[in-house]
Amino acid sequence: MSKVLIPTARRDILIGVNQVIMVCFSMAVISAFIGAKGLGFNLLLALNQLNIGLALEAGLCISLIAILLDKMSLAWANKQVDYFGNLNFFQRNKNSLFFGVIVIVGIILAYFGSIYFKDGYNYLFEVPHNKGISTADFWNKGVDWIFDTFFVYIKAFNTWLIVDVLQPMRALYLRMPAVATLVLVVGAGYLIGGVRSALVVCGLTLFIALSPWWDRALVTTYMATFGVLVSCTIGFTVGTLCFQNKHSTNFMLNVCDIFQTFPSFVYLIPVMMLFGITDTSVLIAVIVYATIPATRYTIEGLRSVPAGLHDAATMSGVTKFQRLFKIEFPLAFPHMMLGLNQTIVFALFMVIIGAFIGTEDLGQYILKALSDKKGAGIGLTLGICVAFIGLIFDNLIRTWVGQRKKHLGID
Amino acid sequence: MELLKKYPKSFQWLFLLAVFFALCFAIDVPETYKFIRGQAEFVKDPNQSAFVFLGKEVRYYAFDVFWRLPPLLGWLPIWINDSLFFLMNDWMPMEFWNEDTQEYKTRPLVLQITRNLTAFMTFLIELIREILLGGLETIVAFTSWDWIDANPWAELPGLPWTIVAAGSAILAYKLGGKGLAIYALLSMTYISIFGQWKPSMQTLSFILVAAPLSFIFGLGLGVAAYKSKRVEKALYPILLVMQTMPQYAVLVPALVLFGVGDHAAVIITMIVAVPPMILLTLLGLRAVPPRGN
Repeated sequence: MSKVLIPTARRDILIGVNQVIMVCFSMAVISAFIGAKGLGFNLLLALNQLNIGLALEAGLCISLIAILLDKMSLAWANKQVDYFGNLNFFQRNKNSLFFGVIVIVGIILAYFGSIYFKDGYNYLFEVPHNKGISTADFWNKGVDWIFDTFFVYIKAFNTWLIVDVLQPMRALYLRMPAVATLVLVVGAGYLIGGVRSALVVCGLTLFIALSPWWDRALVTTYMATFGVLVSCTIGFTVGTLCFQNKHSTNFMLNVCDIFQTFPSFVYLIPVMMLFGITDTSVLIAVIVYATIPATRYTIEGLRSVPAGLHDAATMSGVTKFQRLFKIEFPLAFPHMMLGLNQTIVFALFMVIIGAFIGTEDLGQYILKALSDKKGAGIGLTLGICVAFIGLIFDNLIRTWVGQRKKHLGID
Repeated sequence: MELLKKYPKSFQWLFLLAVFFALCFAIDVPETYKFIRGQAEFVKDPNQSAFVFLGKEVRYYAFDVFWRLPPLLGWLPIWINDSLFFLMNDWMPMEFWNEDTQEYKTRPLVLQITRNLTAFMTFLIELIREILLGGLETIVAFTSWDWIDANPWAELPGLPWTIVAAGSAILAYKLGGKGLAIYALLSMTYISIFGQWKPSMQTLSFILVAAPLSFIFGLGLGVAAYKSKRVEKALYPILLVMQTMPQYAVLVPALVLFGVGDHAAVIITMIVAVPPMILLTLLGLRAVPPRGN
């Protein structure tokens, strides 16, 4: 087991480690709600003061540490152990010795520091909180400047979006009778995956329909759909464009890393300052956050297209666009659909967080449950409702992707 | 007709959409229907209908069944809540030795378990936090306050940031080479210079507890699920729900069970981080060709 199976399954386990670390850091902020100290707590404080600069700095710290830990654990797991018998003591323990020297130097430095900075803080020992350099003012002024300069345009855009797009869409979603929705969802399940899929989807939908929050769930779905539509469009376009060049691909993946570990709460403030307490703010935050998996999976999907096919296509003289649309897209499509799946989960998550701005969906009730002494049951049930919305789409997409893969002969 | 034979799937979809829209137009909006805003739903309204299930009363606005289904599951949240409180406060009281008062005390079993769990977590967090930031808690836990008073040298300060930054750079160099080392050094320096050192180390301390623990649990459960079909079948639906559940819906139950503080944060993080680990372990083990066994 531990000698054969786990080392062979290493690749997926490593992705698991990566996931664990990402989740841990995304929880760093959320757990501040239940009294964890640290960056998350500071970030929430900054959010409450609408201090975008401070929040940005704290958020950047979180993503820096997250990426560092992630890369380190990956490197550690990938490292091959080298055995060199003929090294002497110094060569073998080079790093530990070096660390020992660093410790001594550091302590001496700190000691001198305590003499040098007599009446202030010892900057060589620890830079105290809020006494370091800060770029907070710069960011705050930046957002203020944008707001002052583009106020008219922002306002016009905001009004247009809300009045002409969002409100009608929301009204349409709320106009759906429960039975019609059930028929649509179950029918889709049957057409995609047969009776089994239809039954699963029916059960999930019925749970939400029979809970007291069907209306809220519809509002959540409307916001998530809008967010997913826009971010998929952006993500697929950006992913395809970046894939044309190797450097830009790597650059984009790194950007995705940073944005994914960046605490999602931070997106809320600038958006809220610019667009006010409206659905637009929530949706823009949703789009920023949900574009990440869409882009990432598009790139990875295009990468998974076998190089042989690529070359064969080029040899038979198709143009770049033909190759893209006739060969690469159809083959990468299953993978991209899994990206869509992730996009939906991310969007739902952000819509729920959007309750801090002020929405009228399930998230608002979860937020209320947080401050309610008897909120445990409500919070859990609402969480399950949101999870079920995600799972309905998840089930449909997954079944469809499975069939598609069989059809294409991959996997 | 030929088109229908050529694309049967598309016509099925079209038919589904037609039925959907027909239903939408056929069922009118009830005149009493309005989207409830704010606190309005908590106001007792004579127009509301009510039913009692399992001793819990559920009040709701009744509509045509085709328009909105009645909230037949409305008792569920109240029931979950009540059973949670029952578990914490009344279920299986037992005698436990209390260190502080030096006597046996009656306490519900679940409460005792969660309290012990939180104490263990707090100890782990403090241990790491002390190394990074300086403090006394762990030494006190091993010895006592009197011992500290007698031996003032034990009041070690934390490591200076220069050492931690350089140390992480060396570790990164050993693990991943030059690029990673430079990245480690730069990011640590950034954190320190921008005055975020203390909160960063606090966050780091609780992640250094949560991440390895959830890795171990995830790997263990993943292997268990791989070995036995039954475990897998029991775990799989829970995993799926946990993965799509917004993380802060779990906060409220955890708040009731584990209270407020860093320990609760660690436990919650584990609850959220273990499912993806299990799923990916399972995925990886499945991909191994069976002859490897």
